[in-house]
Amino acid sequence: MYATLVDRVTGMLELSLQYAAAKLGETEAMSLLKKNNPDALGYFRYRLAEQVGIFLGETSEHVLEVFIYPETPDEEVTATLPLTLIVYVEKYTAALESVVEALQNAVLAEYRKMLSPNTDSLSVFLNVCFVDEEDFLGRKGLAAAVGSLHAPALKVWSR
Amino acid sequence: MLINLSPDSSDNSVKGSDARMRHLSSRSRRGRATERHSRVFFFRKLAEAFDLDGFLSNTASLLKNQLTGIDAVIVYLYDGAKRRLVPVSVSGCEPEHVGEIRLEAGTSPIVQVFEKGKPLLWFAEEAAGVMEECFCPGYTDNITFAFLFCVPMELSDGTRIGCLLFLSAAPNSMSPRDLAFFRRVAKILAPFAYKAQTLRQRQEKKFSNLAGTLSHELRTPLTCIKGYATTLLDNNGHWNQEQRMEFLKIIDAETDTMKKLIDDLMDSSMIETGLLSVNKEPVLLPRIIAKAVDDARLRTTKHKFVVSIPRNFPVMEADPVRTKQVLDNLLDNAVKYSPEGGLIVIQCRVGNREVILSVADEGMGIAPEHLNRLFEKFYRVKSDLAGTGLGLPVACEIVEKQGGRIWARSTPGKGSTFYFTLPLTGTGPAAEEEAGD
Repeated sequence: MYATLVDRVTGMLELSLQYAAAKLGETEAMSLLKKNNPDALGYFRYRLAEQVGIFLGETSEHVLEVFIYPETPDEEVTATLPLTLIVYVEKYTAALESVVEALQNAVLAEYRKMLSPNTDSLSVFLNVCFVDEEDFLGRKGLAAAVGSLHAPALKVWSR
Repeated sequence: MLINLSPDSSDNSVKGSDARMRHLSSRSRRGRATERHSRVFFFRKLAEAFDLDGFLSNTASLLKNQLTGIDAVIVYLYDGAKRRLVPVSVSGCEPEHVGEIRLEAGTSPIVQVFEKGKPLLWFAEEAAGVMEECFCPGYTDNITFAFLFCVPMELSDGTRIGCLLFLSAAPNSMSPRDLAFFRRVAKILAPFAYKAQTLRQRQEKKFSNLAGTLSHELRTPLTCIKGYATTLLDNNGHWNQEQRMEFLKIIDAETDTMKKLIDDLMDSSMIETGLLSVNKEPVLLPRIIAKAVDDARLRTTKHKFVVSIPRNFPVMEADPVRTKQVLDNLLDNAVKYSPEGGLIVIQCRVGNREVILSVADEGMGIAPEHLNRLFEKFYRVKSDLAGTGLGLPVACEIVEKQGGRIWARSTPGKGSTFYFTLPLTGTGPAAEEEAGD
């Protein structure tokens, strides 16, 4: 039996946790995350977004760039705040939609387990939105955030 | 006109006729009322009795057995390609002696009925002339019908599809008064006849296509096997061990292809005869999925596989061999219909009452007009790709036999996702280690 998507997601969460700990000079980041420490959560979310970007890029050649949709300045970063990613694709495919659906479900399940009980009521965590060239050119939906001067989306992965 | 509803004379396909209603005379008032009743009963039975598969062969005998005074019935349907009226159902005379009637022969009385849409009745000498048109030369020397009655069969939109010919040996058994009755019979039969004819034509086309497909599908691997086997046996060829292994691997793979084709044909015939069975037992679905994906990986180097199975997957009741067969088929299709390679995602979700499995690809996709016909036997979306059109119907039967459902979603150019469900009937504990190791 080989590693499934769930194993990969577990690895992503562990790496993100280690990254947050390293950036804060702590040995144990978990307790900070459980206390809703915004710095720890910020690093954790950034690294997780990057890992998701790497995974999607490796998985499908149609994925070109991955951005984090920024939180609004007055929005408080907590463990239950959804992480929205904008994925710029060459084209949408049935397989890509399926893998993202599976990824969202796996991340939610593993993240809830990791930060339980804080996240027990969470029903959405990773929220991946596809945009293509047409969306970019027309500045449609979340694609408008990529070139926004007011609240630009942060690129975390590029092909 | 008498309608025979006695059970002993009824056709097998009309069962349960009322024994009290038999040989009703139309002469007395009471008799007429009873006849109306019996006609209603007859029409109802007529409509109930038909199944499309046996319609074309059974109609004539059904009518002959149900109508007293009628000694023979011929059902003609129009064949547009041949421009002929073709006898599709015959009772009361030898079918091999009933001929087709060409529409070009405009003087034929039967053709006149068909073309003008008006029924005609012929007595005595006239009847003998019409019989010459209907039967093979010489046959009419042995049989005698006193009169013939022909009614056109029309659909509700006025399209004429054929005609019914009733023949009687008794001179006074029918009269022009019966015209409305026979028209009504023809009106009831017409849509059934049309559907049955369309079904038969479609089946004939499928079988003709199938013969071509099968010979091609069997010949291709066979040619390959023969070619490599002959090459290996050639004494003049100095093949090293590596080359020999390569040839043997090709022979092995092509033999598998042939075996799969024959298995599909066997399963298909088992479905036809109702013998396809599933043997449920407690299984860990993740293991079956893993095996199917491992096998699929051996068949392609261009594709990338992602498998998503939740942890704590329950033990459930399913047929492991048949379920893997369904997965193999879906994975084969995903590989086949994305020849440029790409991503194939196998996802498994656990619901309250069922497990949902899906196989998604990045292939050419399926147009909406093909989507609802994918599970029909011998239906193929792209005839230039290998396949018999049996894999998905067999998969559908296996899934449904296990109490599940199967369906597909697709967008042309963006790939397809096939889903199937299996009911969660197992009671075993979660198997975290087994699912994840």
